[in-house]
Amino acid sequence: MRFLEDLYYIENTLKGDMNAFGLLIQKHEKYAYTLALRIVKNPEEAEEVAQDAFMKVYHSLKTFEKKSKFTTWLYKIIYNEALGRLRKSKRDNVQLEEIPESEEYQVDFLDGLSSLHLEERSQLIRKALDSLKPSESAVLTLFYLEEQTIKEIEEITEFSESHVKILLHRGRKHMLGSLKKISNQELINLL
Amino acid sequence: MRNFELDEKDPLKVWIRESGAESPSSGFQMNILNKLSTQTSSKPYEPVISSFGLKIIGGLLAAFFISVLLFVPASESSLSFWNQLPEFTLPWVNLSLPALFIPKIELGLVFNISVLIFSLMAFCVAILATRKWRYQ
Repeated sequence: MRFLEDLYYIENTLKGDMNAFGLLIQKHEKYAYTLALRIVKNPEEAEEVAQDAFMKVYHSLKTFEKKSKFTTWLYKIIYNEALGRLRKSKRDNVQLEEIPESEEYQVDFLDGLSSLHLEERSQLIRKALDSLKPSESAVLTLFYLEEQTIKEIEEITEFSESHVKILLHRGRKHMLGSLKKISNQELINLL
Repeated sequence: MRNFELDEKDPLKVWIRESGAESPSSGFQMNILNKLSTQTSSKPYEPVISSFGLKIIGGLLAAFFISVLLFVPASESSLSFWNQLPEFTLPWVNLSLPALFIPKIELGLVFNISVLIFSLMAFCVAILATRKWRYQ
């Protein structure tokens, strides 16, 4: 389905057109849900977070100033909602032990991953993202998948530029470490 | 630290993008719209006792306390405010009314107070029931 600009749906929603808001949800539901899932790590909770965030969006749509992109505003709401949910459930972050980065080994490992089928690789990537700390997987998802700039991620997370860059760096490092672990495990399971 | 902005061929970036976004359940959009429609159709919260009712209750309480302060004598020997008021007599009006006999029921103080409390409670219940019925 081909969607129109966000502003068109926003203006119509503000005029009382619920169908327009439905289309706005449909346009962003996947990315909104994915971001929530990367933070809360649970599909049911992620769906609740995304739904609550869309409800908040609806109720505060009048206050959206249009200075930033709608997606940045939406992701900020989802990010805060998901963090709130995490605090409520008091679930500890998934801790990943520090894995020393070996560039030499990494090249072979990355080549090995490249040779995998798309579906297998995607599964491994999702598993690796799930094993990261919520802040790291959120920043990686926002930067790589949702194509938000560092400046926009700063606005969403309220972290400083250097903190966002550190999280991206650490997130990459941890993800590669996690990918190595997971792919080794998969290999052991196959043997 | 690497330059994240320029690294377009970064394999991690490519793989995260190709793994794509995950889909919520099929009823995701409808759930939100249903929740919103039930929220908009429900009436906004209203307190059980209105501000006018609260004012009346406050006024009655204030009147009660003021009257207690006025009528309580300062000491055991002094007179109460009521007794200090100048005496006056109303002119007697002689009316010839038919002689009616109202049976005099002498009930105890406890009984009278409980009847009064029950009637007040019944009054409150009647008001609440009326309000509830009006909102249904």
